[in-house]
Amino acid sequence: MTGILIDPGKCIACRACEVACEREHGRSFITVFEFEGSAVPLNCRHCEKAPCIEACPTGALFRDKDGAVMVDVKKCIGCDMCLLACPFGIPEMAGKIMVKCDLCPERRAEGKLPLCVQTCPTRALTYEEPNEFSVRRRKSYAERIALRRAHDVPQL
Amino acid sequence: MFPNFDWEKCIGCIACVRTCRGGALSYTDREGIRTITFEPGLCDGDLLCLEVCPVGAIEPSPKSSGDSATFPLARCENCGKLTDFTVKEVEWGKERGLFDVFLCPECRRVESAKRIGEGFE
Repeated sequence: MTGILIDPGKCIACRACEVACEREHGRSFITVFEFEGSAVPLNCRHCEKAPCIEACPTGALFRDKDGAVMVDVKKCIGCDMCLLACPFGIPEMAGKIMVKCDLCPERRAEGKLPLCVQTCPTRALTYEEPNEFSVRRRKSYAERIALRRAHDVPQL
Repeated sequence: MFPNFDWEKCIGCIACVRTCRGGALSYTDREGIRTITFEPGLCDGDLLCLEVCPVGAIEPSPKSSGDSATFPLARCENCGKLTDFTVKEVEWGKERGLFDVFLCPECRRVESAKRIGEGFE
């Protein structure tokens, strides 16, 4: 399942993703949290086993063909049960309807990336399969080790 | 038909209030207490409330004289802030294994982002 994956080691907390999301949706569904030594852009994780889908009493939450967890606005009653269940505290209310990251369905339909991913200048956000992501991360870690050895830098 | 409420079973989640079209069901959150009220005069009898109830606390009944119940609201176990969730909803969530520690949405975001960020240079 393709999703937006986060590489906190690359995030520079420029908040371009927040601005991009707001431009696409009128409000931002991604937030950058800054900590000592790292910054983490957080949006809906579109969980493989999504507690929000299971908690929704009206069946308003569903997974689309790309794997995105989506809200059927006709079925949503704004009861907040999804928010009770969400481990990341993601769902927000807009009047009587729940709103959250939808991975930019119009852009996806045109074969484009979600706008936050497209905009991220450091590739801290990528849109890919989790397995591709971990292979890439492993490779980059191995390269760093190799570089340190080549330059005879002491191991940490 | 009117809804008949089993307040023992009810967790105070207000899914029924949100789905009620005629305004027969209403709620207030005041000073840490949620009050849910049913006013039969406004009930159109569609029983959508019964359909959405996550705990099966509503049954159809031929008559109703109105009803009301109160539920204390839960506090975030990290920052202590009063939340929009009742103590019974939190207990229900814990029983279902949704979480072990109940955090408000803001604390959940910060804590999960912190966990994602841990271990990066």
